[in-house]
Amino acid sequence: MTHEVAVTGVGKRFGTARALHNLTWKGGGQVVGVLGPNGAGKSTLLQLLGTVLSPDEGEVRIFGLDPSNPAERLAIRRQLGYLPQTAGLYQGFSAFDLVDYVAVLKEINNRDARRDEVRRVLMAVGLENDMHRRIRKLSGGMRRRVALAASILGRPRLLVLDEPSAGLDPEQRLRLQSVIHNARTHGTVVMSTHQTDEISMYCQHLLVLDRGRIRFDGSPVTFAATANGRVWVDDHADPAAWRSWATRTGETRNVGTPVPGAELVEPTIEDAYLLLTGSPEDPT
Amino acid sequence: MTIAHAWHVTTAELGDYLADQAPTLTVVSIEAHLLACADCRTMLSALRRSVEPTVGKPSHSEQMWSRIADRVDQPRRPLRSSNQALQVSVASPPLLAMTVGVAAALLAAVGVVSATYPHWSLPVQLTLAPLAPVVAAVVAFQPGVDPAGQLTEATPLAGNRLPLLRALLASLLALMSGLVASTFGSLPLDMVVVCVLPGVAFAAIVLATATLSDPTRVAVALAVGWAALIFEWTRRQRTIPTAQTFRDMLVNERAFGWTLVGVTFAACVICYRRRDVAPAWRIR
Repeated sequence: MTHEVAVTGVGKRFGTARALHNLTWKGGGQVVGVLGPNGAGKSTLLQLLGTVLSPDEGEVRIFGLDPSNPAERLAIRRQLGYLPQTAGLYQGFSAFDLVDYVAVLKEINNRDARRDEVRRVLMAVGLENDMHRRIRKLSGGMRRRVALAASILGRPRLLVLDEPSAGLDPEQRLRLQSVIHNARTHGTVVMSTHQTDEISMYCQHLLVLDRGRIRFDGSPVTFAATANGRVWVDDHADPAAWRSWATRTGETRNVGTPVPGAELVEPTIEDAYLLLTGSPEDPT
Repeated sequence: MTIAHAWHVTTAELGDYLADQAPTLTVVSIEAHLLACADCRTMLSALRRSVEPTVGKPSHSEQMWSRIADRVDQPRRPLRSSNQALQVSVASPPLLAMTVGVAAALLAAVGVVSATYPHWSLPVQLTLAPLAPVVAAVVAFQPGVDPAGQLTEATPLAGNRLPLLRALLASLLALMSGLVASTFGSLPLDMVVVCVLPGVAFAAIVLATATLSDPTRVAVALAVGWAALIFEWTRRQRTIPTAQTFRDMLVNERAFGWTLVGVTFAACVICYRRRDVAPAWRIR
């Protein structure tokens, strides 16, 4: 069976820093969330899937094609949408002109069809009233939505989103949910995030990365279940806990190895994530 | 899916949130809750409707000035039309401006030297003429040249294709500037074309090495080396160099041989690095 995305034994270095270490993963056909702390290798993995970087070792296959081969890379890019972490848009263009320009680069050559497509994506991200304003006049969240609109041009079969919700207000994050849902109907969506609540909102599959390695690969529900019996509440931070933090209700939530008699609670994705990344054992 | 929540954001907290008075941690918590709680979103909408007419509403004069500023800042039709006419916008506005600016600066330098040190006019022209295509090639690879920033990287026209296309266009512009300059300077037309030959080799080397390192460093090294070569050659002449002596220097088998070596070297590097997905400066 050919997976939409297949990464086998991939490693990537930047100077002496190792961003990805012998990473293997296959999947597709769903919304895949990539969760991990800063420097975990999320953006590097997404850049590999976005055909922006090539791996130092191992191989990447997208739709069964090899991005290191120019002809196959072109075929991949014709079915790919990529939202970088920082887009760096030229501020002199209007939102419409900028997305139109990206549509030209994406080989949507028919002028009328292209303009219709540009309007569609700008409306999808809620910029219908601001599409003719210059980028420099738009807020940070609006610029992010312009970049998001450009990435969903042409209904890509693989949509790679690097922290798509950064800078969006709650209403726009809800709109993002419908954008991702629509993109999912055309193929695979791979998105990175720092927010554990977004995983349950958007994703059917979860990858947790830490220090360039995959620490978890499965459904968000299964991930939360990995913390069963490892989360308890108390009125103070338990010294035996790996991580402790105060909640809004005034209680202290602890993850780790509970002491006998501890008041165990239902774990969330955040608990499981903190348990995984807070483990005192060396993951290597 | 309906989720029952154990707590809800209070009206006072929502009021602070709307008025931008809530502490950062509270804002994050409220937004995380709003994403999942329909009741609180409804309350927020109601509160916003009741607050907006009085709080934060700009005065009549502020609205008027905002409308005027928006109108003034609207993209002008000729710019939009020319951008669409160029289709691929291979010469994005910053690149065009830079290329024309560099060509103008080189022309000005030749003009100043011709007026003040007529004897050095020819060596200066000979030094600067090949650098125009090199500068054009360097500018074509700079980050920030593309109006869509990193969004371009995963499009079918990205990778090396778009910068190469731009370098070619900018080189043509630079060459035309050189030909125009020859009508003002003391170099005959055929000499201008000959002068550009080393420039072609330099530009090819810069383009090739862009996949390995920052092209600016390579260009600066080549420019300094070329200037030193011309200076030393001029210094060794017993008489003031004329167009004929320069022709003898450049139009011979040795000069053509070195140009061929340079271009062949560049072609080999490009072939060897063809697997590289993006120019080196993009790789962080």
